[in-house]
Amino acid sequence: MTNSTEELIRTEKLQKIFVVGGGFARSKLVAVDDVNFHVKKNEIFTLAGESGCGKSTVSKMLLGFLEPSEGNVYYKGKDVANLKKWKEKKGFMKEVQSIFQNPFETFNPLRKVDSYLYDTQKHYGMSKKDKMVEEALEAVGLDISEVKGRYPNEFSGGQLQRISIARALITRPSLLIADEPVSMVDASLRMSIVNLFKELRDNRHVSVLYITHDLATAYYVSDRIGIMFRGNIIEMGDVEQVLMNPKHPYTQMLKESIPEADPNKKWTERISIKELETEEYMRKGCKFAGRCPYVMDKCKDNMPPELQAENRMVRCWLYE
Amino acid sequence: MLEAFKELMKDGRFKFAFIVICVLAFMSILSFFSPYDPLRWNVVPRDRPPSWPHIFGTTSQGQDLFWQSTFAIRNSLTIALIASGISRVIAIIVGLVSGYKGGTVDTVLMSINDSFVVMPLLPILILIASVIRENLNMVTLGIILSLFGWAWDARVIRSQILSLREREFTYTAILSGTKTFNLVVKEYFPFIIPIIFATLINNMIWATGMEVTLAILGLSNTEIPTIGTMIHWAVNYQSILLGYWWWILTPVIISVFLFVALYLLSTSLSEYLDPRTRIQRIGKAKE
Amino acid sequence: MLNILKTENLKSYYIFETPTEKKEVKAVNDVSIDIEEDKIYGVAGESGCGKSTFLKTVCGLAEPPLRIVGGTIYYLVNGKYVDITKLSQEEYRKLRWEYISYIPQGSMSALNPIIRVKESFKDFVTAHKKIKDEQKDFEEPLRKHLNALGLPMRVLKSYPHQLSGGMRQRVTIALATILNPRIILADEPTTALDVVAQRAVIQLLKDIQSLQKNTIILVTHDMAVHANIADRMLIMYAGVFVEEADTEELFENPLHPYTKFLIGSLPKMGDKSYKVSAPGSPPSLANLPQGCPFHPRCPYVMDICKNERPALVETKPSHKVSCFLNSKERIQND
Repeated sequence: MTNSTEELIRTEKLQKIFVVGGGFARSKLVAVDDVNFHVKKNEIFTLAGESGCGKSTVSKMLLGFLEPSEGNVYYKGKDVANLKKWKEKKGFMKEVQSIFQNPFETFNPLRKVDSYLYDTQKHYGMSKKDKMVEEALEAVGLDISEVKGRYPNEFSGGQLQRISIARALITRPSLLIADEPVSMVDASLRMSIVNLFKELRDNRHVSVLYITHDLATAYYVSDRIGIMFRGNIIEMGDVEQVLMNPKHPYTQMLKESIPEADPNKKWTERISIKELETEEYMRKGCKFAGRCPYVMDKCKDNMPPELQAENRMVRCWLYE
Repeated sequence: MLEAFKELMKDGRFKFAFIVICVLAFMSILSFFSPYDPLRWNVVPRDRPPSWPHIFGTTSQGQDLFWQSTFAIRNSLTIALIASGISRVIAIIVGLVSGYKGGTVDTVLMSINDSFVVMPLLPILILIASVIRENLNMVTLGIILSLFGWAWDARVIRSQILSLREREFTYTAILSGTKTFNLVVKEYFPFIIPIIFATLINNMIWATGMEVTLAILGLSNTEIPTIGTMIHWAVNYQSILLGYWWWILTPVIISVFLFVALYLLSTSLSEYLDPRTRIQRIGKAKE
Repeated sequence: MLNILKTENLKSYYIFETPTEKKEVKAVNDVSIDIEEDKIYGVAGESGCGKSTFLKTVCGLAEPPLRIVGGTIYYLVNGKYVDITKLSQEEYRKLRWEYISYIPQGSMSALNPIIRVKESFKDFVTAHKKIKDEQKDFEEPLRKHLNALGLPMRVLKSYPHQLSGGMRQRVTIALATILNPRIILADEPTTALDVVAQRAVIQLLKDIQSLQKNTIILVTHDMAVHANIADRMLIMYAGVFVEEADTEELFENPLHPYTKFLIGSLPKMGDKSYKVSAPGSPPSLANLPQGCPFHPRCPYVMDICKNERPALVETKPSHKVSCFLNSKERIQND
């Protein structure tokens, strides 16, 4: 049931297949398969997973930078997966903005950083008098005087990331897609950016789709979470439930493997990774079957569907 | 602008190149004040070695070498500038469109491009030149040369665009609401400008070389004085054999200076304009 | 416990000279440290604080524009301390990889992409040792090494691109340690890896250390990794070490204001309380403030901090800190 007044963005059976190689040695890589999730108003939803699980591909499809092979993306009930007209695209981008992983690549090193801010203000129909740029910078804790006339190489990663967020806020979006926003920012500066997301949700009514592999910050900042593994969402629900009481064996292993910043809580058990990554991707059936401690025969041949168990969605035959 | 110039002058190569080109430019301007008509023969005593008032000597056709050179430089430079200028425009348009659009447009444009690249240039030029020899004035020659000079560089520009398209700031610009054309101009041009300059100058060297080649082979309009035609006539009249060294040496030395200066200009400018060194210079004043 | 690596007043700067100006980036700015054998050290600090440069300098890889501007580096070779800054390239080359091995950042791409992994190992070993009997001198030890580290034999037959990032990193570590070096320097070995692969790499490093009984100096900004593997920690800020202590002691009683911020801002599972980062940003190493490099951001700054640099002194047993607050307290307590 889609409650289109509460929901902002929703995906249905989203799929992306890449063709790898050429000529006679082509093979298909299913990067994203049957992904179904939604982000509501005033919430922070995390899409979490290890590198290579498909989460960045999902975000590119949401923004329209990549066309889905199958499936749909709806924004406030409207199909936005294949917008062709510039006016429609711009209307969508006004509502849905994004920031990226590498703050040093986000801006052209040969252009002044404030030019992007003024461009955004101009292109979305606001005049200089509205002072949108100054306001947006204030929202991220920066003053226009610190930013005006300077080039990207004069700032630190954390500052650039804030400026990037400021630029995204100028259009007064309802949804901010943040793709690994703090992984390249120093550990000591991360929390200030992550705290900013909380503030955006609480005071400015901007929802955040937080894409990351760092479960500690995901736990700290999100309301709901979806865990991705090799292209599928394998567990999804309230963050407290999913991360504190994981049901899928992969989520359990993931949680176990997060290093605690506490020398008294070191890992005691050993793990062993024997399989090469590509072998896992090409599996028929559940992609985790090669490493799962609870694997059954069924798992190797059949991909489990989305099942419900204890207040969350789990893709695992254990919960049939 | 002025600051950039001052910075460049610190580079020895640029300084030398700049001085030489200034001298050559000055000589081209002098051609407008020439007391002799370059197309007429026997206006001065023949075969005189360098002495006053004929400081470069005279030819067997009775022409003053110094004033001939002024015309030669002017015409050669004109041909080179026309050729490389037009070919830049074509290369930029093809490279930008091909690189950014991709898909079918890219495939079609690159197929055309590659056909131009593999064409055997010299035989075709010889063919064209021998057919329309009489009507081959400078502008025509410049245009013909430009049609052959764009293909290689279009590919270079295209690959630069291809890599720029995947960089994150492209997405930032799109999200900022920038439309395609403005995006390409504002975001990518600063990266392409060094390539354009470097290839412009290289193209000038190539065009001049082509002109000289055609002239020596006697295929261009040998009445119009250019560096190439000067060499042509000097060879034709057996100047070396007869010991009139000033006749052959003048255009050769001029062309050597021209080529070396253009080359040094190209390398020092592209080093200066290279985005990587530019980034280091940016914001330095603020520290 | 013997010290197998010592530095005294080590300074290494990146020096950039153009016709108009000279820029010095003071990446390692007067560092004196003693490293014991059979221990895992963790060096923590923000990116750009100089920790990677410290590693490069200490294993003799300082290449222009990076230059050792002052100080000494001692290795313990055959019972004697040798100042490696005074050795020639040839003499030093013999030491490297057998005494000290270095795993650079992003080393996953360090494996030659066009040959199989086994060949990479072979190239590496033959560059340092004579192999007479291939089976006995190369294959056997290689198999034992991989086995001990829990790596599947299959990797030997693979090309690097066929392995996942985590697997490649582990293979690179196996490569760097096959000659049993006494010191292993690892620069951000887990940074680009996902959590599970990270855990495998950390497990691997621990196994190597307990097998070969050598010293590992691990550099990363991820404090949680240090908590899991380091015995003793060094906190680096703007080119100097500001605190040194055993890991448990550092996490429980951080003394330097920067360390306090660092540890206080770490998110923990199960804990949703508000976390705060240190205000401001670290200084540019080309333009360091006078006095203590942290003073512009320090909530406890005093006048003396703006003018003088505090030395790294032992204020509690085995716990050193470079801060006037602590020496002041100590003076007051005396």
